[in-house]
Order: sequence, then structure tokens, then C-alpha cells
Amino acid sequence: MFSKILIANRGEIAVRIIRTCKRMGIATVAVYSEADQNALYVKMADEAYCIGPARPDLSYLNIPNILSVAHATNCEAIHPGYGFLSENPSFAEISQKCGFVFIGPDHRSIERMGQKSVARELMIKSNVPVMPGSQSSIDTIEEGLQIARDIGFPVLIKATSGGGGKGMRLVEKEEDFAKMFEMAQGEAQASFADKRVYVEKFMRNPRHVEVQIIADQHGNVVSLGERECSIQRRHQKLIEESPSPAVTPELRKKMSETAIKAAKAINYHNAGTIEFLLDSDGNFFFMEMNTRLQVEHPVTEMVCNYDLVELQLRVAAGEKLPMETEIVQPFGWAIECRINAEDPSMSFIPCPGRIEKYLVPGGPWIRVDSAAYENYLVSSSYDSMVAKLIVWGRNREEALDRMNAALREYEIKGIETTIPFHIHVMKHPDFRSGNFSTNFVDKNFDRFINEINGEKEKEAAANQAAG
Amino acid sequence: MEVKQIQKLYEAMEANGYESLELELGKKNKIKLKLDQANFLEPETLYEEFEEEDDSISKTQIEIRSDKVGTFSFARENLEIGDQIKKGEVLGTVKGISFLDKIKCSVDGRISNIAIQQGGVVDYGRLLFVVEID
Repeated sequence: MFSKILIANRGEIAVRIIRTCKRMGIATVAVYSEADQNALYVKMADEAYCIGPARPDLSYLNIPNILSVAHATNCEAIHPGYGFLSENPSFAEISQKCGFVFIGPDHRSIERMGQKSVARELMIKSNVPVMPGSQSSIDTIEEGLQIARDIGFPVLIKATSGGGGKGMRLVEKEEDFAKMFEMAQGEAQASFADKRVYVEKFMRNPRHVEVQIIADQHGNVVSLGERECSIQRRHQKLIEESPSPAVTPELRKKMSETAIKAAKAINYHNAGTIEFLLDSDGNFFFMEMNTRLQVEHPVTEMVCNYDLVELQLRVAAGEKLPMETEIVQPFGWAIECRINAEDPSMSFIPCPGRIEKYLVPGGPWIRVDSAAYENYLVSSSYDSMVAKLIVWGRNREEALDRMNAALREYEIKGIETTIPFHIHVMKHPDFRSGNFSTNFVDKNFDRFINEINGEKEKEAAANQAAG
Repeated sequence: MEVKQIQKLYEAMEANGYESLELELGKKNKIKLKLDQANFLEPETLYEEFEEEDDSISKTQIEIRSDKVGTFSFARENLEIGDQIKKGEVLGTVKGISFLDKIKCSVDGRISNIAIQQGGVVDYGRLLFVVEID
């Protein structure tokens, strides 16, 4: 096992990784930007070094500075966390060439899965179900239109190098195809410096269900079951749970076997997630593979009883996976709410600022993964996530009730957060029944706004009466 | 405009690093907000000020800081406080994974503080030397 690693990330995920390292007796080196000099993870790490100004391209994406710290402090390995350089194949490759173990997959796996149409082609070859559409990138409008006609409208035009919904266009009618094709190409060029696009069938109101896998360097791949991530807004996940209320044990077996097949097709090692779209008939289609630790990994940890960061470290160090089965069965139910510094009553506008009061919920089976503390300044330079609140229950109902109680106990003053939104979702009949899809937030948004604003007015009136 | 709204604007300015903001509310009403420098200092600005001669501390000395990350080595073994140095003289190097950065003095003067050791890890903005200007 490693004796010292560098964490090339910030915020809650840096804290999360340090916690496991401390337990395992691994020394940690943190890197930070000038905006993060008072961050919790900087204080928790054994050593911490400033690598640049607040701008991410000058600090957290600054490969020479990060590797120079790793070299100067004699680190053996680098954990990239999620976001920033975690899915940058060059970073993984250069790290390895400089003599550091990259705690993640081989750079070739990252490269292949990062190009959406290459990944799609690879999955087709490995008999993994994909949405009907073009086998790889398409160059001309005519070629694209022919494929769209064959599979039937509506279709999605997606950027080959895309992600996060950029360079993606929904085409409902044949006459709009040419215009949308050019727009998608233009946006793809602007966002990813790569104008290549591909076409696939658009599924209305699918569920987003993903399978967590972990693979060692001895050819063993294990599925840790699925996560339900359908509660999203503009492709940003807000609530995740494991298992999924839509997945039966038979479907879990099928999805897990498919995910394992996908990972084996590219000789994958370390933690990875295969994202699927699931329709109401239990058909699922490969969407993409994330070649890193996911934000929502704690729900899997809670139901599978494995520390995913520990498994990442162990397989990166060359150890064999400890499981004796290919598919780990979930025990109980876990759910995670992402607490963001955003105002849900104002279309989720980011609200960075100083946290004046901070009180976390506690009690059995409640976990808070966060880098926040009282007086912490949520910076506008980075994403707006303040904390992840994760709870476990023996069944879904118990987990939702526990989450509801924990959300009401959570006190964050000084900034607006998404806590009121989550409280609303926890009692929503569609959510409680498990009968929802990726359109849940859009469908219910007006109702959220009315209720949240109504509660604010009540609170203001109560304050006035008291004061 | 209510006081609360103005307060929110100030917070947004501070969070986004704006020093002043002008708002037009209708045709005649204009509002101008300015953040007090004491409340707000952009880290990058702070850094630049360190590199330049820092007026608020003293006009007679400069601080030499590193803008690179790596391992420090002295250019000569016996550099001591009180040593006379010349403008452009190399005092040491910072060796990173793919570069070697020379630390030069921008003035003629005398070393009044050595804040780094041989082989020490240097991070971004780290103070290395203080030089009294001749």
C-alpha cells in the first residue's frame, strides 16, 4: 500500500479522500488555490501547498504545478477525485510517466470512454445495448438525416466529445434537422474544440440508472449495484438513491452483468460508473461511462458496506478485490441530497457567500460529506455544492423519513440553499411512490416555487409577530 | 430599492470580485455601489503587490516570492543575511517537474531575511527573501 498520496482536488471530495487515508495510515498532501487557503481539507491534510490563484485553469487544472508538488513531497500516487483533472487522459498519462500511480483507470480507458461516439461504437461491438442511432460520428447533414429517418423522430444530436448537455440538440421534426445539426456542430466546436456529432433516438421521460463497478488489475470486475439518479435539473443530479425503486433483482443482475461486460471490453481497472437510460418496460441502454469516483458514491457505500475510496487505493496499489461474488447485493436503502448554495425559489440561482451559522444533523445512519463549517466562505470560483446529506434505512420509506427529519435539522444560515427543495421532494407523492422519471423537476417546478415562497412568507410573518 | 436588496447586491459583488457597480433603475435613478478596499482584496492583486515594492510596509525593502512550485536550491552555498547583492543576480532556483526557475533580485541591495532553506518545498506565492534596497 502507498505511504503518501497527493489529492489533486478540493472541497468535500478532498475531505472524503483524506478521511479514508487517515484511517489506513496513508499520509496526504493537499493542493489548494489562493481562494481555498482556509479550506477544511487544507487543515486536515498532513501537508498542503498553494498551487496558484483562484482561477481553476491556473491552479486545480495546472498539471506542472500539481506534479511538481507530488515530486517535491515524495508522493507515490495521485487521487484525482471527481471533476477537474479526473477524466483528463493526458493528466493520467503524464502522472504515470513521471512515476506516480494514477488512482483511476489507465489513460487509454479514459480517452476511449471520453469520446462518446467511440465509447458507443465499442459498446455496440461488445453487445452492450445502446440507444438506436449512428454507430459513430457523422459528417454530413444527409447522412445524419437518413439515420434519423431510419430510427424515427424525435432524435438527439450529440457532441462526440460532449458532456453536461452541451452540443446536444433535440429534433422533433424532420424539417428542423438540418438547422439543429449545424447548431449542434457549432456548439460542439465552441465547447470542446471538436465539431463531430452523432445521432441517437430520444427517449421521452426515461429514468437515469447507473451501475457502480470496481475492477482490479487482475481481471476481476465487481458490480456494486445500481444508483437511481433521475431527480435532476438541467442534467445536474440533485437526489440519488440506491437501490433504485424501478430495479428488480432480475433487472439488477442483467444491468450488472452488462456493466461488467462493458468494463471488461476495455480492460478497465479502478472505480467506474456505467450510466444507462431505463424505460418503463425495463429496457435499458448504455449512455456513457464515467471513469472516476462519482459525487453520489456514498449511497452505494451505505448499502454495500464497502469504502469505495479504500477499494480504489487498494486496486491502484495492485491488490486483488476482496469480494467473492461478482454482484454485491444491496442491504437496506440509502439516499443522498446534494445541498447546493442555490436559491430554489429563484430558479436555482447560485448564492455564494459566507455561512454565518452551521449546524449539521446527527443520529443513527446519518452521514454528512461536506467541506463547510461556520464562517466558511462559499466561493463563486467553484461549483455551488456545500454538502451531501446521506442517510440509510432498512427500507425506502424509513430512509425517506430519516432524510426528511435530517433536512429539517440541518441549519445553514447566511446563504440560500436547496434544503427547502429537498424537503418538498421528500414528501411528494410521486417521489414517495417511486414512480418518477428525469422530467420530475420540470413537471413539478411551479408547485415547488409556490410552496417555497408560501413558506417564506409564513416565516416572515412569524418573525414579524415575534419581533 | 430596499436596504436589504442593496445589501444583497454588496454580497454578490464581494462574492464575484467586483469593486464597483453602477445600476440604472429607470431613466433618472442611478445607483453606484463601491466596495471598501479594506473589506475586499482580490488574492491575485495581493500577490502582485507583494512582488512589487510594497508601499504600506516600507519603501526601502522588497519581498521576493515564488510564482512557481517545486524544490528550492541556493545559487551559492554561503548566502547570508547582510550580503550585498546586485540587480539581476540569481539567488536560487526552484526546480519543478518540468522546469527550472531562476530566482533573481530586481534591485541592488542587502539581504535582510532568508525565509527558505536548501531543499525546501516552495509553493505559489511563497516568501523567499527580503532585500533592503540600497
